[in-house]
This record gives sequence, structure tokens and C-alpha cells, in this order.
Amino acid sequence: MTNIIETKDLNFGFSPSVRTLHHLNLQIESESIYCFLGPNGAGKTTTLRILLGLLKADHQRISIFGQHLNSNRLAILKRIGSLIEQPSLYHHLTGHQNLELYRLTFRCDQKRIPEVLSITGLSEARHQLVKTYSLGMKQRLAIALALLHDPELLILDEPTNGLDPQGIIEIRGLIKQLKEEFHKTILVSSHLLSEVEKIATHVGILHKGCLLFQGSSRSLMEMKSENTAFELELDAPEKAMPHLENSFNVRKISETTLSITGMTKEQVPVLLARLVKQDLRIYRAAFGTCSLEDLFLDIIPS
Amino acid sequence: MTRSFLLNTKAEILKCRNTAAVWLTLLGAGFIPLVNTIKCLARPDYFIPKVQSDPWGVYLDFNWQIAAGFLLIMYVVLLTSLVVQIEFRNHAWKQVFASPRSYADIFFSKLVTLHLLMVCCFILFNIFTLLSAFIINVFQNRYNFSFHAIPINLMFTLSLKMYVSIVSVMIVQYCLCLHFSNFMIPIGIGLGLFTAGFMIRQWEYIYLYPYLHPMLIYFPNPGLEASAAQKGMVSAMGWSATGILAGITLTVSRFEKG
Repeated sequence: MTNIIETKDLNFGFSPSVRTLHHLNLQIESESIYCFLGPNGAGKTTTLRILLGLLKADHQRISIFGQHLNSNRLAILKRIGSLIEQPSLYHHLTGHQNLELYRLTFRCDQKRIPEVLSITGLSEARHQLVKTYSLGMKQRLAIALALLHDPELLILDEPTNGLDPQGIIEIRGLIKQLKEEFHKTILVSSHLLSEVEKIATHVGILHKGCLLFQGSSRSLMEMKSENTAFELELDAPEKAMPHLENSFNVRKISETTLSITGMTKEQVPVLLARLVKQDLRIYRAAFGTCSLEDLFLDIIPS
Repeated sequence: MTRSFLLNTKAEILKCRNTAAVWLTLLGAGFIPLVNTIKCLARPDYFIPKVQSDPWGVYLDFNWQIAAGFLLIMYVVLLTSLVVQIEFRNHAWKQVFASPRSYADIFFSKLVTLHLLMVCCFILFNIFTLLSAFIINVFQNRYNFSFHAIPINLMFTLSLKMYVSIVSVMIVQYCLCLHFSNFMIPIGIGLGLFTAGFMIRQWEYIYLYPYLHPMLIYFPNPGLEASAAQKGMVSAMGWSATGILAGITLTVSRFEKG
């Protein structure tokens, strides 16, 4: 797979004394859903804005589609669709009119408007003024706008921000569909680990402007499960302890519950079978939740 | 390049649909002729003797002196803020700058839109002036408009001179609007500079001051040298050229685009 976006040692600061990004080396493969994960203020939006040329940075260090951003800005932007922060829509115009404005800019065919409206499920609301749209509809229209010129790369900054659960599911489905059916490369930022798990093929974790992790989502999940405690609720924990202590770190956290760390998903059925053989009654067996903060704490020392 | 500039300019014009900028152009153009119609119909005994000998010349002056003295500046200051605010209000600058458009394209397409709205305003102002004269004549034919030919050449020359005089203000205001994301700051600065200009209108170099150009070019200027109006025209063109350079530099060098 070739890299669609590459940054080499990218630094950035809004003022000379305050650095927002530190030596960022991004590598985003084509036809991937690369999720940029980090808490608020980590530098996600700043990075995305730099990639779109919206912030003055050393664009010589940024390569998109194999071209340097500083010398090929227009050629690169022709191949990118973007949604940065809240949707940039003209509220006094209809959904269709908003798309028409950008259709003129991108010089694409008239038929693209009904197509993207249909992909985003806004065909019926196309003649409604955008100011009457719900937040989810605005978000979908902004995605329709990003898709209008059929770009190879989509940059979506927190596209599910402010949406209700139904809206989040819809946008998530749309992102997956865009990759699977239309073979787009999608760079999407989020501060929700649970969100990223559901859609990403690749993940980049940003914390205080530093890229702490970059790789496939599978490797992140493995790392996550290694660091997530497995909780076991059973009738006699004391009886189970000798069978576990040799292989894992085991801690009794309540009268009936044990917390086991250093265990992978694959080891779960083996362990449970062993305990059942000892006539132990198991009430609950599950990995605990791993928050983004826990993951950071695990990643930072390494 | 030219085609994409034309298409982007068309897009900029379409953005103005349903906005206050369009209503301001329409109502701004009609306001003075409307007030003058009411004035002339309400007090014919007072105005007929003043207008009768040269009805078109005097009536055009009635209309233009208010425009040149005050309303033209107000219109331009408000119009530039309203047009540029379309992007700020809708958080749309970032999308504009993330589109495949050169900085010059972004700057000039909006500037052309502003010019078009101003041209529309000038054309409508002349149409409304003619229309109001006809209405006055229908109700009070002693104004004698129908006995004199419409001074098309005078109307055109006056419009052209006033247009040149106001373009410099428009460009300065445009630069201010690009710089400040706030709607009120450029309006405040514009009105402040106009007021300050009014206070120093007897200054010997007042022709260098853009906010007084319409007044300087339209009215006689007692106390100032005879060539002040011509110098004002040259200065207005100089300000326009400098403003364009400043504006484009501002657009390109902006640290945060959108």
C-alpha cells in the first residue's frame, strides 16, 4: 500500500514559544480509514488544518499524493474533500444551493448534486433552507459537500460531534460505506476510543502534540487488550487463584471478583475451560473498559 | 484559470442571494429618490420655483448631494461588511480556503461581487431618480420635467465620477473586513474615519483622504485649491490600487486561513 499522506518531522506552534505539534511523522495508507485519536487540545484539528493549508507551517515537510503541499496546493486540494470543525454551510441558502456553489468551484457535473444528496440521505430536504436543518442533517450536508467532486481523500474532523446516537450510527455507516464501496481514503479525527474501534483500519494517537502510537487498529486492539484487566466473577475466588497465579497477575477486588491483567482475548476460552473443570461456578467473565486516558497512561512510558 | 475565476465569481454572487447586502442595495438606491419625491409633492410651492428653470439639473443635484455627502459612504461601509460577513457568520472561510482556489481568485471574486452590487446600486439609483421625476411630474406638471430632455450624459458622468470616488473607500473597507472577523469593527472604523475626515475637511491635503473623496469630488470646496477635486480623483485611484495590493498581501500572508 502506498502512503497518501506523509509528514516528516512536522513541528508547529501558534507562537514561537508555544509548540502545538512535535516532530509529527504521519503515514496514511491509501484506501484506509485512518482515525486520528486524541483528547481535546491534543492537536488533531491543528494537524488537519495544516494538511489542508489552512495554517502556515513548514509545508515542505508535508507530502500528499506524493507531492509537496507548498508547491502543489491547488492540485492537491482538487483531490481532497474536507470537513473541518463545524460544517461550513451558508444557512440562508438551501442544501441544493450550497452544493451548487461548490459545484461551480470544483467544476463538476450537475448530476453529482443528486448523487451526493442521495448518498447522504438528503434528497428530500434539498430545497429546504440549511438554517432549518437539524445538526445531523447539517453534518451530512457537509459530508455531501466534501464528496461532491469525488475526491480520493476525505479529511473529516470529528464528523460525529454533537450528534445523537442515531446520527452517530448513520455517519459511522456512511464512512464505512465510502471506504468499502467507493474506495476512498478517509482521515477522520475523534476523541472517542469506542468510536474509533468501530470504523478504523489504522489509528494514530496524538497527545499534547506528540504522536504516541501509529499503526493498524488490530495492533492497537491487541495492545489495548493486553492492558485491559479481565474481570472474573465466580463463587470461590480462593479456589481459582492457584490455577491463575502462575500465568497471570491476579488481584482480588471483591468477595467474588478477581481482576486479571496481562491476558489476551485468545487465552480467555482456555482459562474458562480450566476453571469449569475445577467445578467452579462462573457468573461473569469480561474485559473491563479501557478509557483513552488509561491507554495513554499505558502508552506514554513505552 | 479565467473560466474558473468566472465560475467562482458566479458562486460568490449566488452566495449573496437572500442576504441583507441585496436588500441594502435595493433600498439604498431607492431611499433618496423616494424622500425627494415626497418632499417635492408635499411642498410644490417651495420647490417649483427652484426647479422650474433647469428641472433635471436641479433634481439630480437634490439626489446626488445627499448621496455624495453621506449615504454613499454609509452604503459602502455596510455593504462590504455584509458581503464579507457571509463567510465569517457561516464559518465558511476555512471551506473557501480548503477549495482548489488561488488566493488571488478568492480575493478578486469577492471584490468583483462587491463591484457588481455597487454598479447595480448606481444603475438602480439613476432609474429610481428618473422614475421619481416622472411620478412628481404626473402629480405636479409645473415642475416641467417633461419639457426638458433627460440629461443622460450628465447622469452617466456624475455616476462615473462618484463611482471612482467611492471605490477607494470600498477597497479600504474590504481589507478591514478581511482582517477583522467581527461585523461591527470595520463599520465602526469606517464611520469613525468618515467623521474624522469631516472634521478636517479644510486640511490642504484632504484630497489624500479616501473617506472624503465623494464629498470633495461632488461639492465645490471653498477654502481649498481649485484642483482639489481632480487631485481627489487621482488620489482615489491611487488608494484603490494600493488597497488591492494590501488586500491580496493580507489574504496570502494570513497565518490562519479560516
